[in-house]
Amino acid sequence: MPLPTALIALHARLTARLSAELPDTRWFRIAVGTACLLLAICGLTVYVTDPYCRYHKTPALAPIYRDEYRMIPHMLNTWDYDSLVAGTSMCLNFSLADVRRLLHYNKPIKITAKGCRPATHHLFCDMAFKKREIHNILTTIDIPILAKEPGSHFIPLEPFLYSKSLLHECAYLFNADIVFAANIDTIKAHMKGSGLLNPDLMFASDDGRGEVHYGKERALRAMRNIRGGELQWVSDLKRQDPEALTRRMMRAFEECYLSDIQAHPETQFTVFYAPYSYLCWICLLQEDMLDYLLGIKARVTEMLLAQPNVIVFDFQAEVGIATNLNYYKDTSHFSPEINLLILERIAAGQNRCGPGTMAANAETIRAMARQGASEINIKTGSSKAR
Amino acid sequence: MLFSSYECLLFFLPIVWAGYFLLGRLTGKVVAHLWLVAASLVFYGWFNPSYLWIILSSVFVNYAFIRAIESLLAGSHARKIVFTLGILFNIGLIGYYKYADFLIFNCNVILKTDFPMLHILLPLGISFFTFQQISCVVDAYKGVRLMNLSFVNYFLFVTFFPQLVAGPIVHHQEMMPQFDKPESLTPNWRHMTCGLHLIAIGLFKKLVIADQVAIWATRGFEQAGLLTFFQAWFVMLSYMMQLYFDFSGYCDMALGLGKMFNINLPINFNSPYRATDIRDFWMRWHMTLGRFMSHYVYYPLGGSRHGAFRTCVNLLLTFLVSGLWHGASWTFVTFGAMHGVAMVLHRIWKGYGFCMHRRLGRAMTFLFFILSLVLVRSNSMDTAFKIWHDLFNFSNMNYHEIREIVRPGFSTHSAIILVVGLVVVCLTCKNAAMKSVTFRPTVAQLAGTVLLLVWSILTMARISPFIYFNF
Repeated sequence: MPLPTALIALHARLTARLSAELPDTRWFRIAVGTACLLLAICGLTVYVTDPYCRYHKTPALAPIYRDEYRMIPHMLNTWDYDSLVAGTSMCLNFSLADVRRLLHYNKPIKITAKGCRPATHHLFCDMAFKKREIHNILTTIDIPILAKEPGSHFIPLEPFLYSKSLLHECAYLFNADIVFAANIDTIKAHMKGSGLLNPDLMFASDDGRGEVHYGKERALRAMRNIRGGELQWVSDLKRQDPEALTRRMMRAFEECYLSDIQAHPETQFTVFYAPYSYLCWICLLQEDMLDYLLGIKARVTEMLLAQPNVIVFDFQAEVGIATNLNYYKDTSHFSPEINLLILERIAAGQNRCGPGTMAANAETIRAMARQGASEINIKTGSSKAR
Repeated sequence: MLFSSYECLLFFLPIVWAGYFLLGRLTGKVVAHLWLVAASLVFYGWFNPSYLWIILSSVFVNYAFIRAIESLLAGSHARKIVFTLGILFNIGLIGYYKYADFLIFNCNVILKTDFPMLHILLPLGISFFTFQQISCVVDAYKGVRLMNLSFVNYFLFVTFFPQLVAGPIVHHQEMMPQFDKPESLTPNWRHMTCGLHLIAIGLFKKLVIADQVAIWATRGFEQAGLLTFFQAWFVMLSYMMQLYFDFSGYCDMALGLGKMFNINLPINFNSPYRATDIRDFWMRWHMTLGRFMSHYVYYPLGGSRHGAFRTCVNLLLTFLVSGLWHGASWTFVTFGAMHGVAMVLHRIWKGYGFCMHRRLGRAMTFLFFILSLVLVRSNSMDTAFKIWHDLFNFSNMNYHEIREIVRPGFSTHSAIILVVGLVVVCLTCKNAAMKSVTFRPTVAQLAGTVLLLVWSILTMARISPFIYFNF
């Protein structure tokens, strides 16, 4: 039979088959049965691959540790851990291998998240304390983030990822974002050999493969680009009543950080202030917010130091780090080598805060900001010395 | 409870369906209907249990009014008083929950007073179930026989869950006889297949199409006043598609669910974007609201019986009420006024015997509706003016700017193709409700239904509420 005739015959047969009527009961049963079967296959696939570790510590396909807001609530349930690395993006680039080696934490896990607000930090810590016995917590406190709306999160937390009920299990198992997108991303990561498949680097914004670029030019460019965006918070803070703002920030600190510290005297908390670049301090100085935030930092530190289970380290007055823009990709985010340096200094007991160190550190930061402001035009990102 | 939720599709619907037919077989009609009423109240209370007493009191009070009107002598003074009280009760209920803050706000602005706003949470579907009951009270007063008006039937008529929170606005004459048919208590497998098919189409329209274009519409309206020409038109087309696929998707699901219980709900959409003039549009868009407005607002005002001028005034008033029904804000009132004026102009045009080429008429109706929709989506007149300005801002004609609205996930071209494709579908394809009339359980329909159903369920975790719940 010639090909066109065969195709026409095939088309006719197919059309006849597709337009064939079935008895109603059979049609209904096949439709419901097939839909259930397909959903069961999707659900089973998600259960086995489990890209967010909801059911397994080690799913069939090793997960890509990238989507922290979706993975952390599950990992806190399924993983075995006894210490935490918590906080904002300042902590994302810590290697857990370094944490084990330098700080001698036994089984650490990261509960760090981009833009981690006080409520999120408290939520994650609370989940961890309810599940496991925690010996150590390494965390940073970003003072400006205390000003965020109380109870708010950087992104809306999807309820089905944060609780377990029959309906939430359905939302996880029968979810196109997970069946397809997350699994395909994981397969791609395996094919590329992504560094984020390494649990020690979980959630790192830089896995050390040279894909993220740091340097003065990039930091200055980022500052120019984000003055209306990321640093908008500085002008937002300025518009608020200082007394009300102070009350809100201190309440956020007490409810989301101090309460955990006081509720768990058996846990050792290591708190550090991350070294933002001096561009950040210059911006704050020019917006007249530097002294205000340093004042809040002093009050927070004083309350932390009064706790027997807390040690505090301050890296913000480290002129050698903050003024070397080659370590930065924007005004505050630094390279993993600074994370390593922080761990080494903490391990060696350097940069530790005591009652007398905060005033001196604050003065160093002010001097650094004044000096920087005289050298750099914050609006254009160019050097004034030209 | 949303139709497009796991709790509804995977648990609520199978349990209620099985319970209804089982009770129907074992105990008879009354218990089966009570089961459906109880299930409908669970469905309604799932959103917020505190709403329940509002709908319950509305049903009890209205039933009492209807019975009282029926028992009184036609034309008697007492009957008129009871009827007036019944109407005032319903208008008072909807007025308090939906329009109190709007009235207070305008009172404060006009009279320079300082009455505090009440910030009342709008009970879901109040506009729908109140209108249905107004029609019963009016018909009882007019002496129209309300067939099979037992309390259980009436309760079920108001609360029947497929139409409870977002319509269609059903009429007692089309519902009550269906409840009473003995065969309604036995599963009808043709209805089941057709119902499942409609549910699958409705879910797909809502979850896969409407929710995707909604993201673009929302982003666009957040940047009102800053959009380029093509961005503004893209955003408005997206919103137009969102509104249609959202609401008609809901109605398809309602029709499908109704069919599963052997109840035929009225069709609410008949390819409205194919309308060739504004009158035709309102005979195709939200048809049950149009029917209610005609019977219970336009005709009582006099309809077209008192000359051309009064007809125009009546049309304008009817559309103002329709606009206000959609929402308590000046944007909705203006939306109603715009359509009222368009209806008046259309009537004058027709009165002079003019006619227009069908395609030109279709294009003009489409364009007019898209421009009026700006008012429905804007939260203030200021935003609406900004969007209108953007729609005619010819200073930046670079269509690549659309990428700012659609990324990540879509390129400019793929997004344009999708939205234009949806417009073409609306303009050329047979609508789901019409297809259901000629539905045959073929293998192709089976494959399509399963595909749409599974695809929709897999996208369900990104749930957003239906737009018409707000009305």
